[in-house]
Amino acid sequence: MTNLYEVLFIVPPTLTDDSYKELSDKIKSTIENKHESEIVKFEEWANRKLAYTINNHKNGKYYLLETRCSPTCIKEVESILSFEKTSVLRFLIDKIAEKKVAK
Amino acid sequence: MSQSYDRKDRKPRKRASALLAGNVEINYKNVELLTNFITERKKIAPRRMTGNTASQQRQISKEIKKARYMALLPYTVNHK
Repeated sequence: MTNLYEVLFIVPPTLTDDSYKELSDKIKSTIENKHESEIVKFEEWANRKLAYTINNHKNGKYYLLETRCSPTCIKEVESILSFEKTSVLRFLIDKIAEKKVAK
Repeated sequence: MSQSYDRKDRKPRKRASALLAGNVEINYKNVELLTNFITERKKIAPRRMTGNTASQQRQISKEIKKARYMALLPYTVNHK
Protein backbone atom coordinates (compact mmCIF):
# COMPACT_ATOMS: atom_id res chain seq x y z
CA MET A 1 0.00 0.00 0.00
CA THR A 2 1.35 3.38 -0.88
CA ASN A 3 0.38 6.89 0.02
CA LEU A 4 1.27 10.25 -1.36
CA TYR A 5 3.47 12.26 0.96
CA GLU A 6 4.86 15.73 0.86
CA VAL A 7 8.06 16.55 2.69
CA LEU A 8 9.20 20.12 3.16
CA PHE A 9 12.54 20.67 4.80
CA ILE A 10 14.82 23.62 5.48
CA VAL A 11 18.55 23.48 5.00
CA PRO A 12 20.86 26.25 6.23
CA PRO A 13 22.29 28.35 3.37
CA THR A 14 25.77 27.75 4.73
CA LEU A 15 25.55 24.03 4.03
CA THR A 16 28.08 22.95 1.44
CA ASP A 17 26.95 21.48 -1.85
CA ASP A 18 28.67 18.22 -1.04
CA SER A 19 26.89 17.66 2.24
CA TYR A 20 23.60 18.65 0.66
CA LYS A 21 24.19 16.17 -2.13
CA GLU A 22 24.97 13.48 0.40
CA LEU A 23 21.71 14.18 2.20
CA SER A 24 19.55 14.30 -0.90
CA ASP A 25 21.14 11.15 -2.30
CA LYS A 26 20.44 9.37 0.95
CA ILE A 27 16.78 10.36 0.81
CA LYS A 28 16.45 9.56 -2.88
CA SER A 29 18.07 6.16 -2.55
CA THR A 30 15.92 5.11 0.42
CA ILE A 31 12.83 5.87 -1.60
CA GLU A 32 13.95 4.49 -4.92
CA ASN A 33 15.27 1.23 -3.48
CA LYS A 34 11.82 0.36 -2.22
CA HIS A 35 9.33 -1.63 -4.17
CA GLU A 36 6.50 0.50 -5.63
CA SER A 37 8.01 3.75 -4.43
CA GLU A 38 8.73 6.77 -6.53
CA ILE A 39 9.67 10.40 -6.28
CA VAL A 40 6.98 12.54 -7.85
CA LYS A 41 8.57 15.90 -7.38
CA PHE A 42 11.77 17.26 -5.88
CA GLU A 43 12.12 20.97 -6.13
CA GLU A 44 14.13 23.73 -4.57
CA TRP A 45 12.57 26.98 -3.48
CA ALA A 46 14.49 30.20 -3.64
CA ASN A 47 16.57 31.09 -0.63
CA ARG A 48 14.02 32.47 1.80
CA LYS A 49 14.21 34.66 4.82
CA LEU A 50 12.98 32.71 7.84
CA ALA A 51 10.16 34.24 9.84
CA TYR A 52 12.31 33.80 12.94
CA THR A 53 15.85 32.66 13.54
CA ILE A 54 16.46 28.95 13.88
CA ASN A 55 19.84 27.95 15.35
CA ASN A 56 21.08 31.45 14.57
CA HIS A 57 20.16 31.14 10.90
CA LYS A 58 18.20 33.98 9.40
CA ASN A 59 17.82 32.46 5.95
CA GLY A 60 17.10 29.00 4.75
CA LYS A 61 16.84 26.93 1.64
CA TYR A 62 13.55 25.12 1.30
CA TYR A 63 13.21 21.83 -0.49
CA LEU A 64 9.92 20.25 -1.38
CA LEU A 65 9.76 16.54 -1.98
CA GLU A 66 6.66 14.76 -3.13
CA THR A 67 6.77 11.03 -3.03
CA ARG A 68 4.51 8.05 -3.40
CA CYS A 69 5.65 5.38 -1.00
CA SER A 70 4.70 3.09 1.84
CA PRO A 71 4.27 4.19 5.47
CA THR A 72 7.39 2.27 6.51
CA CYS A 73 9.41 4.01 3.81
CA ILE A 74 8.33 7.47 4.92
CA LYS A 75 9.32 6.51 8.48
CA GLU A 76 12.83 5.88 7.19
CA VAL A 77 12.92 9.25 5.45
CA GLU A 78 11.72 10.82 8.67
CA SER A 79 14.51 9.21 10.68
CA ILE A 80 17.12 10.40 8.16
CA LEU A 81 15.84 13.96 8.39
CA SER A 82 15.60 13.97 12.17
CA PHE A 83 19.07 12.49 12.51
CA GLU A 84 20.68 15.24 10.42
CA LYS A 85 20.43 17.88 13.11
CA THR A 86 23.08 20.17 11.63
CA SER A 87 22.03 20.05 8.00
CA VAL A 88 18.24 20.08 8.43
CA LEU A 89 16.75 22.94 10.41
CA ARG A 90 13.12 21.91 10.17
CA PHE A 91 11.07 19.39 8.30
CA LEU A 92 7.41 18.63 7.91
CA ILE A 93 5.91 15.48 6.49
CA ASP A 94 2.37 15.73 5.27
CA LYS A 95 0.16 13.05 3.84
CA ILE A 96 -1.74 14.47 0.91
CA ALA A 97 -4.94 13.15 -0.53
CA GLU A 98 -4.77 11.72 -4.04
CA LYS A 99 -7.87 13.69 -4.95
CA LYS A 100 -6.09 17.01 -4.62
CA VAL A 101 -3.34 15.90 -6.96
CA ALA A 102 -5.72 14.92 -9.70
CA LYS A 103 -7.02 18.48 -9.92
CA MET B 1 -38.86 47.24 29.49
CA SER B 2 -38.11 48.24 25.99
CA GLN B 3 -35.22 47.36 23.82
CA SER B 4 -33.26 50.16 22.30
CA TYR B 5 -33.74 48.70 18.85
CA ASP B 6 -35.76 46.03 17.21
CA ARG B 7 -33.82 42.96 16.25
CA LYS B 8 -35.75 42.92 13.00
CA ASP B 9 -34.43 46.31 12.02
CA ARG B 10 -30.83 45.35 12.43
CA LYS B 11 -29.12 44.82 9.14
CA PRO B 12 -26.62 42.00 9.08
CA ARG B 13 -23.19 43.27 8.30
CA LYS B 14 -21.83 42.14 5.03
CA ARG B 15 -19.07 39.66 5.48
CA ALA B 16 -16.16 39.52 3.16
CA SER B 17 -13.75 36.67 3.24
CA ALA B 18 -10.64 36.49 1.14
CA LEU B 19 -11.73 32.94 0.40
CA LEU B 20 -14.88 34.03 -1.39
CA ALA B 21 -13.20 34.02 -4.74
CA GLY B 22 -13.65 30.49 -5.94
CA ASN B 23 -11.88 27.30 -5.03
CA VAL B 24 -8.72 28.34 -3.30
CA GLU B 25 -6.93 25.53 -1.59
CA ILE B 26 -6.00 26.36 1.99
CA ASN B 27 -2.45 25.17 2.32
CA TYR B 28 0.43 26.08 4.59
CA LYS B 29 2.64 26.71 1.57
CA ASN B 30 0.29 29.43 0.33
CA VAL B 31 1.71 32.05 2.66
CA GLU B 32 0.23 34.95 0.76
CA LEU B 33 -3.28 33.68 1.36
CA LEU B 34 -2.69 32.92 5.03
CA THR B 35 -1.35 36.39 5.77
CA ASN B 36 -4.89 37.64 5.16
CA PHE B 37 -5.99 35.74 8.24
CA ILE B 38 -3.48 36.91 10.80
CA THR B 39 -3.68 40.10 12.80
CA GLU B 40 -1.12 42.86 13.08
CA ARG B 41 0.39 41.12 16.07
CA LYS B 42 0.54 37.89 14.06
CA LYS B 43 -2.24 36.17 15.92
CA ILE B 44 -4.75 34.04 14.08
CA ALA B 45 -7.63 36.38 13.27
CA PRO B 46 -11.05 35.52 14.70
CA ARG B 47 -13.92 34.67 12.40
CA ARG B 48 -15.73 37.86 13.24
CA MET B 49 -12.88 39.72 11.59
CA THR B 50 -12.43 37.58 8.54
CA GLY B 51 -15.93 36.28 7.86
CA ASN B 52 -14.81 32.72 7.34
CA THR B 53 -17.09 29.78 7.84
CA ALA B 54 -16.39 27.48 10.76
CA SER B 55 -14.89 24.76 8.62
CA GLN B 56 -12.71 27.25 6.76
CA GLN B 57 -11.51 28.65 10.06
CA ARG B 58 -10.55 25.21 11.34
CA GLN B 59 -8.54 24.51 8.22
CA ILE B 60 -6.91 27.93 8.22
CA SER B 61 -5.78 27.74 11.83
CA LYS B 62 -4.31 24.31 11.22
CA GLU B 63 -2.39 25.47 8.16
CA ILE B 64 -1.19 28.66 9.86
CA LYS B 65 0.28 26.53 12.64
CA LYS B 66 2.09 24.36 10.10
CA ALA B 67 3.41 27.45 8.33
CA ARG B 68 4.63 28.83 11.64
CA TYR B 69 6.52 25.67 12.42
CA MET B 70 8.24 25.84 9.05
CA ALA B 71 9.20 29.49 9.69
CA LEU B 72 7.05 30.68 6.80
CA LEU B 73 5.00 32.77 9.21
CA PRO B 74 6.08 34.27 12.53
CA TYR B 75 4.59 33.19 15.86
CA THR B 76 4.81 36.71 17.23
CA VAL B 77 6.12 40.17 16.40
CA ASN B 78 8.69 39.88 19.16
CA HIS B 79 10.83 37.09 17.81
CA LYS B 80 14.34 37.35 19.08
